Amino acid sequence: MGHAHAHAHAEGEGQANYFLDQLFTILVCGAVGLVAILMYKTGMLSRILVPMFFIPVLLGGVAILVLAAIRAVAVWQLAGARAAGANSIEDHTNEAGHSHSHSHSHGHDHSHAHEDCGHDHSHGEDCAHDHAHAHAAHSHGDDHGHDHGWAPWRYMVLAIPVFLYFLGLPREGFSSRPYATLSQGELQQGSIRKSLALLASGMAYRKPEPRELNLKFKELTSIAAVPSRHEQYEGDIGVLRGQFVPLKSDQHFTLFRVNMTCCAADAVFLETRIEAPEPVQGFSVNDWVWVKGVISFQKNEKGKWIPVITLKSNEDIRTAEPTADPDAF
Amino acid sequence: MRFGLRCSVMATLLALTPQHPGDHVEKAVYDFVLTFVSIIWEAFPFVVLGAIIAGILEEVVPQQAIAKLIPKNTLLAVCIGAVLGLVFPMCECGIVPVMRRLLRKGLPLGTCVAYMLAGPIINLIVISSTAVAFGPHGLGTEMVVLRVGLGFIVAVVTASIVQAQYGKYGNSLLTPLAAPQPAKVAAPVEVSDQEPIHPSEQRAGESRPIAQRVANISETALHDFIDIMVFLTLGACLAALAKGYFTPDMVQEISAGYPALTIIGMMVMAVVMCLCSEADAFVAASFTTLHPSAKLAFLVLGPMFDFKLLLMFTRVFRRRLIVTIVLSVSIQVFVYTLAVHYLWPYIVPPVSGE
Repeated sequence: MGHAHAHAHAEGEGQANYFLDQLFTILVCGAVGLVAILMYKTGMLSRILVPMFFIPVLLGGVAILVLAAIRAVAVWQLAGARAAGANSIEDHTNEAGHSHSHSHSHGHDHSHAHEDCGHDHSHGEDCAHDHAHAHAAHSHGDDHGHDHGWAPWRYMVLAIPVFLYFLGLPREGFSSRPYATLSQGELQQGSIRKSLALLASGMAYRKPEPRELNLKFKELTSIAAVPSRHEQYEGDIGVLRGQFVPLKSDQHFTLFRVNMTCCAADAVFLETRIEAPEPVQGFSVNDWVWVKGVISFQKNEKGKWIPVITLKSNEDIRTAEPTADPDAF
Repeated sequence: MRFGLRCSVMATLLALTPQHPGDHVEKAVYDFVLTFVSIIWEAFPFVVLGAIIAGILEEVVPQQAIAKLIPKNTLLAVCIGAVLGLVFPMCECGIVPVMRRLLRKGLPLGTCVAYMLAGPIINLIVISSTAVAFGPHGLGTEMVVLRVGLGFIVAVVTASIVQAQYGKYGNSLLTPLAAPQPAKVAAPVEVSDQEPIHPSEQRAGESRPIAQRVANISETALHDFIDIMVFLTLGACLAALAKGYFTPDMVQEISAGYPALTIIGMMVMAVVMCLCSEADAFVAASFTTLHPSAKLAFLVLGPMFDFKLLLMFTRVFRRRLIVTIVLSVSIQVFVYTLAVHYLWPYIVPPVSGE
């Protein structure tokens, strides 16, 4: 009698674990899918990803939600079939009067629970197969919670992004973050070396017939990185849009843009130094501005070439509309 | 699981360590959350795609059917695996569940490893992004050729080593979830290392109603989604923490004048940053003061091995195989890129005036 009871308990516990695991799989996957859809709908994705990823995240969310729904139906049916099966076995036992028949058929005692058991049963109605598999699992030991058993830590880990969403995190993208909290070195402050094309007086060299160029931020910083290309642009008039960051000197400031290729993890700060003839006033950190001035290039203290725009007058600075697109003019 | 838990405990301890006193704490937390969340959601659609493909493969493709298409010659099979990304482009996050199912379906381990390592580099999307990122620097063609070439060599050599190791140790190198299954067995499969096999084994090729098939696909897909996303989340956590401590500027300052140190530094950056292979070229191109060889190390190693991939590998490979792959890939990338550093004047003759 004790034998039969021990086994029944173990198998029942295994089934319970299996259904618990399936329930949490459905719930967590459904929650992750729902959050993906909500992130798309609320525009939260724009803080962490570039627009080309919005639709894939939405589709991923819908797909995982649909899969969770299908799985929920399948598990519901399986649970119903199990309940019906259990009832019929019970009826059979009562009628035939051999209450130990099921347990004895296994031929050995399992006083321990095995979390994989319920999983095996999910194969379908083929009882013999299921039981045979369960026995094989028993022979392995008790390390079965790894994959199909009840392993709550996995769901706790997966729930982190869901909780973060409902906490409203992250609240801002890099471009909205106050400059005061930017990393040291994310934007370079000083400069030590100017390109040869700059005049000794500090005035920017201007070509006899300068072009007026609507500059893309990424394009300008790419050119700065290749000294052989400086000559092409030095002396031309450039018009540029970016976010305002004051420097120590009130006549100098930095324009920056955050360049995300895919996500915030690959975000790079692009910067251009602006030199104005008079102290710059009326702009705050992170304000979007247009500037228009003569293009040159300087090396900063870390040896990196950065673009410099020298303004003719402070009227060449004006307020601009924000944009998240690093390729936008 | 034990390794994953250890990593998460380590990550928590690191997060609680007050490395950023005062105002920097807010910034550190902010950067951590932003980076952590962005890595997860960027990878999310690819993991879903990979999980669905894995579910379909498991349910529909009969055992050994794909393996029959692969040549018997090991080297040829490995080389095919290395260029498979041109036909089936997958990023490094989505490729792991697909590769695991292909392994179960009997595709040779060497071919799968070659696909897993080279697939995220040798595909048209990544080739284009590398060309676009380095094009303005006048190095588009050189970087594409070197990245693809080195990626191919590293993947083929590593996969060949792995295949040889498989000949010696067999399925004990793989987790039960990844171990190839026999074409048809009546009895359940005994697994030597105390882990259960997947429920859906042996289902493919059997005749059953479409509703049952869809239910089975959803079961496998959700199982793989959870399995991979958990470790992706832990990897993203590690990456976001490490990123706050280790920056390209630091690499530059520490390694100035020492090419070997710079290359090692950028290899560490690749492991730490966990960037998508479609985006990493743009980040590498922004390190304008670094030698191209160091950027190349970053670009070749990153898609093959980083924190998130390391944790994902634990769902497919045993420790012995993970160590083999990591060592082989790391050593090769270091040696080849160091060679590129010294051969660079011959690869790209210097332009006067620079």
